[in-house]
Amino acid sequence: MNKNKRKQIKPRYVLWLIIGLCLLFIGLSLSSGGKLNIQEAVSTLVLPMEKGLNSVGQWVDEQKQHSRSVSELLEENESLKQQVDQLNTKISSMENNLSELDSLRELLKMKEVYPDYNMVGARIISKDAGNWYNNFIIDKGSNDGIQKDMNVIYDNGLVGIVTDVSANNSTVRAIIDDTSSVSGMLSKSTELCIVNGDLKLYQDGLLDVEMISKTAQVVAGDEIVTSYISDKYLPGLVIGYISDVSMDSSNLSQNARITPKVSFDNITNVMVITQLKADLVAAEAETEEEES
Amino acid sequence: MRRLIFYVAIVILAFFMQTGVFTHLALGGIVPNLFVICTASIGMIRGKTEGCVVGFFCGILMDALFAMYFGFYALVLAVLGYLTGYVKQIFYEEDMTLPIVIIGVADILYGIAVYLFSFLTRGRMDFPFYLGKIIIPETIYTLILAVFLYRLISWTNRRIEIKGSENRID
Repeated sequence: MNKNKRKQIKPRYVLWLIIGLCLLFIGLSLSSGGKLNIQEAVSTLVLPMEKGLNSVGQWVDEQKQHSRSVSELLEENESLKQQVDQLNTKISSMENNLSELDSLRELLKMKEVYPDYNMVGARIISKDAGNWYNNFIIDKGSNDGIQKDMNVIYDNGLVGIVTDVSANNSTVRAIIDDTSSVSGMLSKSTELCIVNGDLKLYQDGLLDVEMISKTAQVVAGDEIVTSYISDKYLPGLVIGYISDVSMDSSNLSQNARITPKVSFDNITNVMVITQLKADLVAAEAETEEEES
Repeated sequence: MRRLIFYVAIVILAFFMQTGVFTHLALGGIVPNLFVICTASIGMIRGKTEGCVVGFFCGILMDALFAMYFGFYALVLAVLGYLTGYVKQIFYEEDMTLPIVIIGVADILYGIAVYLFSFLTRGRMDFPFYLGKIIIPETIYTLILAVFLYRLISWTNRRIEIKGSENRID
């Protein structure tokens, strides 16, 4: 009873107060474009606990894996063995090519096209809580040298890009996220294109590719890599492989769908490339200046 | 005081279950929405004010980590908490049908709000697809969990109320 006497705020006022507060937050985050201090504070508060809890989740994952039947495993083993054989032959032929390439490069005194980037390994500690977006959080932040716009890869395929950095964790937007858009190119013909994440297409495990030039020859199975003109993505990272191509309704360009190289459902660890594209461009410009 | 601890505990628990555990227990790529269950349950049992406040804090936690715009989820959940508060007048805690229906409706509204403000605004027009493939499956999964979670919240709430009345007699 005394509770009622003490305060009897009308629910309506509470609602308006909260709506006002939320609108203020939304306005602030829209105008600042980055992480708000309060956001940073909340995430540093909860993420350490999250880390521990996520290991529980991963344990659940493992149990799910364990429950797969023996026959499935045997089958997979068989097919993997075949794959090993195939890959071994491929490796030996590649090694031949490589030595040839090396000698040719030496002749041309060419710089290596793709230098070995420095990488930092990171563990995924949390995935987006809803069904609408595909962001995740990794356990490395600015203390480990992570910066905004660094590229994230796994298994030699592009996973996404760092969008927010805190001291000990950072947020990564996956390329399958509905808001993601990556400038890509066909690795064979270096024709440029744009790779968009699309929640609808990703139900079938695909990404959307648009703006391939009308004259480009594209067939299923072609590899799409990040382009050299992108200002955020390093060139030459594999995005995926074309699964089907069609003419755009405007008849000015071709559209395609690709299967991403990385299987996003069960990644737990990723690599962050600590080379920023912007720095790379700046460095290249400098050396060019020196040379000229 | 006891009630405050209850709310803090339930919001934090829901948050960790949502982000840490259920992302690994996705069925067909769909995860349930525990925040809607908590917000709607408390809104129904305790009324508009408390539903609104609990929804706000649930949303803030989610916003801090994953929002496109900080404050968006907080706004949606706070409004949902307020709306479910209207049900308090016509509702018995022991009856399970009405709470389940309300939680279902709340989750669908939540889905529609997310679609309207963050997908339609970017030109994703195919609403039937998003309704059929995201919103409805999420609601079904959420409802299955709601049966248990609502009971748990309602039971805990009653325990707190009984404790409270004992104190008053003293």
